[in-house]
Parts: sequence; structure tokens; C-alpha cells
Amino acid sequence: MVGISTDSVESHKNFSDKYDFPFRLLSDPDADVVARYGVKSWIPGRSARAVVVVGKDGKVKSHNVQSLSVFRPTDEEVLRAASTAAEQ
Amino acid sequence: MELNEIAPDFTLKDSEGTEWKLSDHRGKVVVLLFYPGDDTPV
Repeated sequence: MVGISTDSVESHKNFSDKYDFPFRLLSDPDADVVARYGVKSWIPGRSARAVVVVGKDGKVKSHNVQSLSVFRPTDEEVLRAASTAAEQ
Repeated sequence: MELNEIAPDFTLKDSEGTEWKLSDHRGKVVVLLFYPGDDTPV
């Protein structure tokens, strides 16, 4: 699992030092990956909250975008999507 | 984006400046968590 936002590498460093996340944070400063995955926020240059599950075969198994960014998919939804992909 | 299409490959840097490439993880399930910004509630 990786986190992706349009923040800089330096911002990610501060954020991950503060919270010690068990996963990597990736920096997409040009919002290129955000655009290619169709997860742009209504805030220019930002990502929406979204969960994309990529299966072992490299194919998209789940694509869940929350256009209102205060909401995010529930942990159960994320786990269910990941375990379904793991079985395929 | 359609389900079961090949996920677009990409390479991005992590918080240590190390490059991470999606296609290096073929064979494993990868969960991409997109979020608006570090340390913000929005």
C-alpha cells in the first residue's frame, strides 16, 4: 500500500516523520499520476481522496473516488477490495 | 478509468527521494491511496 498526493518529497518527509506511517508516501508534484488515474480534486492541482486497487496481474480491480474530499472509503471497503484482488 | 484495464504505470519519489515504480510490484496486490494533502483535513 502506498499513499499518493501532490505534496513535495520534503512535505512527505515531515508528514511521515511526524506520524511514522507503515507505508510509503509518494510525491506527484505535477499531478500527472492523479490525472491519469482520474482522481483530480475540485481544488486545482490536488488529488481527491481515492482508493485504487491494482491486482497481481497489474489490472485495476477497484477504483473508488470521493469527490467530496472530507469523506473517504471505509477501512472495510479498502480491505474487502484488496482481499478480493488477492484471490484473483 | 475502467475496471480490469491495465493500471497506468508510473514512477514517483517517496519521502526519502527513492523512486517507486508501480510495475516493479507486479505479482502483488497494490493499494494506491490518493489524498489531497499532507497534514490537512481536506
